[in-house]
Amino acid sequence: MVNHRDSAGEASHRSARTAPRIAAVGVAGWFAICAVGPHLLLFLLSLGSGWSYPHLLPDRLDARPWRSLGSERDQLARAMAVSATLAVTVGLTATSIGFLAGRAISRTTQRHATPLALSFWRFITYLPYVASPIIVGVTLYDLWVRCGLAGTFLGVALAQSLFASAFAAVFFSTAWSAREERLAHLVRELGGGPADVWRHATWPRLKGLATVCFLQTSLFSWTDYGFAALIGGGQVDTVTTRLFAYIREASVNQGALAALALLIPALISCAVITFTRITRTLFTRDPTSGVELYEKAAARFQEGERESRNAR
Amino acid sequence: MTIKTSGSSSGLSSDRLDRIGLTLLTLTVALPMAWSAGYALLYSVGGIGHLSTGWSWRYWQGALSTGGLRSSLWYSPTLAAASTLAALVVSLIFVVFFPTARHSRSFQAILTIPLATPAAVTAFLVYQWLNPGGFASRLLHRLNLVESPADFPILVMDEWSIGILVAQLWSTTPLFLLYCFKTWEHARVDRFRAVAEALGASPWSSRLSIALPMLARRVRGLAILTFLANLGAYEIPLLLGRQAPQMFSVLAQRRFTQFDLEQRPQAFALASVYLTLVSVGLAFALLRSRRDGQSS
Repeated sequence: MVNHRDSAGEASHRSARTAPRIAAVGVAGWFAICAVGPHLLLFLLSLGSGWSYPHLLPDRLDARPWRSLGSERDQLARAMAVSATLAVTVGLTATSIGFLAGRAISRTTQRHATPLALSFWRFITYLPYVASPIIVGVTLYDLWVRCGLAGTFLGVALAQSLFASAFAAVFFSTAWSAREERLAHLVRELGGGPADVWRHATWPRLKGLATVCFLQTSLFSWTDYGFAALIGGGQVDTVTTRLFAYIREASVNQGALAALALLIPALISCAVITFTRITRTLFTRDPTSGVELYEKAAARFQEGERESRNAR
Repeated sequence: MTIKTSGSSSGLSSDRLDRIGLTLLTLTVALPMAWSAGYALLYSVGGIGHLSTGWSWRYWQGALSTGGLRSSLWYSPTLAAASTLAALVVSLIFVVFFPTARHSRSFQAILTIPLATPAAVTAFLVYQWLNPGGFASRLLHRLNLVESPADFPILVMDEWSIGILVAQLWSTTPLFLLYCFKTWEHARVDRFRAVAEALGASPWSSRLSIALPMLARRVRGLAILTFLANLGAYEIPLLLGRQAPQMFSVLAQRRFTQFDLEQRPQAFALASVYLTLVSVGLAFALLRSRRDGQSS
């Protein structure tokens, strides 16, 4: 009898535990469907031509948008090349500026800045973060016209770099910690010059950060529509301006392919940023690993010194 | 001796690098943003501009009376607040009810998909799904619930901005979810809940009285930043919004690119209002985060 009661109690306890689990899986599944499902429509639409009501699939499954992608006259392929060049240019510019600016903000505020100065630099770097590129584009347009930059590749790249550099500065200022300073100090204490500090202390820590920052800032440029449309003024044809051109022309299938062209690099970069070892090691702030880093840097530096002495 | 010299010289070069960094930041970010704010304000009061006839409030009056500024002043913040609040509530409810979902890496991976989706693609997707001739309407037609596109409810370019809300909710909810998952771990919510339960609280009351306030307090800064980002949204309201009222970005861009050059100062009046709102909101968010940082 007691055993029966125990088993009944256990069963009810188990069901009480499994019910929320089933609900969690159900709700998480719903979220997952909502997150992935809509994108499948893009693939479907890009596989054919025409899409008359009430068909679920395109009228002809002839993969026409994909076939025309490689042709010489295809505007999307050209727009992709322009967007890719813009993304690399903006990514490199913003990462370089952001590294110097972020490092400077972090070091200045750590050492001797007042709370007011700290707030000022944080405000300046965060403002482009939340401001609308199209409104900033409206207010900068006349200046760009006077400088002969409106409607040019350089003009769009400079305008995008404004926002991307602010992002990169925020990124490096939060990632740059006292540990990097101590590591650089250690290399200097061991007799290293600026080049050695860069080679043994800064670069090994920087390369992971720089990769993530480059991907993020390039992504901003790749997905930007405001600056490309307004500052570019129709002269700089990017994937986003092409997508809106297809929407205006009511070319659903071409539009779906342009949307995929925008989406796929963004998804790949996001996957790289989120799930690679780079990010995991970057954001693991284990206090003991600093000691290991010191030891490794010191060993590496002494080894280099020994090698150069031997060579001499 | 050598060590001292090299140390000081590299220290000096570090300082020089810092100066270069701050100068670059000033030249590439601070000055253009200051130019933006100053130019917009001066243009809107007739101080500068090709058609300027001297200082005047008439452009502001025009923007407020016929330029759509008044309607945009309530429409943009209301819509941005509604989509931010909805995303926040959905995320908090989900995380409080199903905190174990944070352990699933595949679920987190799936959540990054809407986050990585560009706004232009989100707008295109929502339009293709929800317009009267869209995919949702076709699915309902298959189920014999809708006969023609005219029977499908208007969900894009509609009176209640449902399309914009859906698009912004779809793209911001994963951000709040991922942030709440991380916060749950960093703030050690489980430990506080365990203490509360050891003192006699039920699992549900510990979730509602301990976990929920802890998350809500920490997510405030992100909520303000998301609100500001939604306030300046362009691609989504451009494709899914109505002709009137319009959000700040769309209205400013339309006023700026109209053939009638008399409308341009109105675009700058709109830009001035928007930049002021964003600056005040950002200053508030940064102040809050500093105060939160000091108190914790």
